[in-house]
Amino acid sequence: MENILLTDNNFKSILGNASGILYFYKKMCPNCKALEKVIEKFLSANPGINCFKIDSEESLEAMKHFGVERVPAIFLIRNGQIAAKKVGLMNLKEFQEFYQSI
Amino acid sequence: MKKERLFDILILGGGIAGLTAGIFAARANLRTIIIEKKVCGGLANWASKIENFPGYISISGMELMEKVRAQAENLGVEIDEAVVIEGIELKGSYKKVETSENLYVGKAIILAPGRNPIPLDIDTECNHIIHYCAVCDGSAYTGKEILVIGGGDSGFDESLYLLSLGVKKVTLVEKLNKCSASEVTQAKFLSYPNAEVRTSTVVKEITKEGRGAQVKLEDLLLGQTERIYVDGIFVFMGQKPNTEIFRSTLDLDENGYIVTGMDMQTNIPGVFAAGDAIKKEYRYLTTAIADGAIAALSAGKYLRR
Repeated sequence: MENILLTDNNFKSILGNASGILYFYKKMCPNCKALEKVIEKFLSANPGINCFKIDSEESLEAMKHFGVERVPAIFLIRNGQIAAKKVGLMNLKEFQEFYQSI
Repeated sequence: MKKERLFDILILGGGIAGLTAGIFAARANLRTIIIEKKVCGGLANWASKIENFPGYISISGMELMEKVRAQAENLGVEIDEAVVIEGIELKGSYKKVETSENLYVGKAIILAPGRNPIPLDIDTECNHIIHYCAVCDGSAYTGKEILVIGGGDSGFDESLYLLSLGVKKVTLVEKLNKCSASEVTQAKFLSYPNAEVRTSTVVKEITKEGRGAQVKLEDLLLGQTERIYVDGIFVFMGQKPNTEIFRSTLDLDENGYIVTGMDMQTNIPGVFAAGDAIKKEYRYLTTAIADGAIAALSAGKYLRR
């Protein structure tokens, strides 16, 4: 399943009652690129989980809404609500533990 | 049960040296895999502008590395990124790299683990405002005061990026009496009215104050100290090799760099090394490319013995 790119125009409506992973990134952020590889592997082993992404330089309203100042920032969303948040790079094991923490 | 996968050559590290080694190995029809802990590209991914790579007047490190990666993949090099390494065996006729998902076995291995930033060695409770990546963490400091530690190209390049984000002020400190960054970059930084450089200056203490910190600076020439308030600290004090795991098996020099011959062979037969993590005078993309090519050619010769 492709990661769904959200923008300021649609993040509220799409995330409304959604559950899954949401991450904020910058195009030129190496840690963000590395995290995307981690998430790719995680989703490959766990198909069916929704994954949304937001470009933090293009979507300032979304950044403000979620209180994001640093990237990568990762949220676990449950029925439209933030269930967990982490900032910074994680390896695959750490991401698996993070996802299972809620 | 982990999947065991056999290759001719394992390459540990997907920076420019590892990717180049992969290209040369694949062109010699050797089954090759690059095993990378994060994402291919290595330290070059962190360079916003590379202007000393032949063929490109100016290109971002990430864009350049994507091109190199595409070339390696086009040649059939397999790449496994975001791996968690659980074990490495270098001795014996088969070399092994165990990840959390697979057991990779190769007849030869090229180690290109690169380097990582040297951390700031100061006991402080302000670690939450100490950063090593301006792209990742700089957005939090728009309108704020920043301390940058390190007067090399990274220190100045990242300071210029922070200024572009609209930080209130950047104070850059360098412990030597001269910064090593290119003169052009230094001049560009100093052209900003809210940019300051202090050489022969070190950070002695960082203590919490409000949401930021009081930093005690010492002028090494005058022997005087001064305290300044900063909201955030960015550290660019250089790099150290990622070779700790090899300390008991490979010959390393006093700084942890892998000792190799001119053919990139280490002290263990069938184990080669390339790139920033080897003992050498100059560390640039171009020298890493040469290392990677030589390592692959030497590994190929080793396999044909």
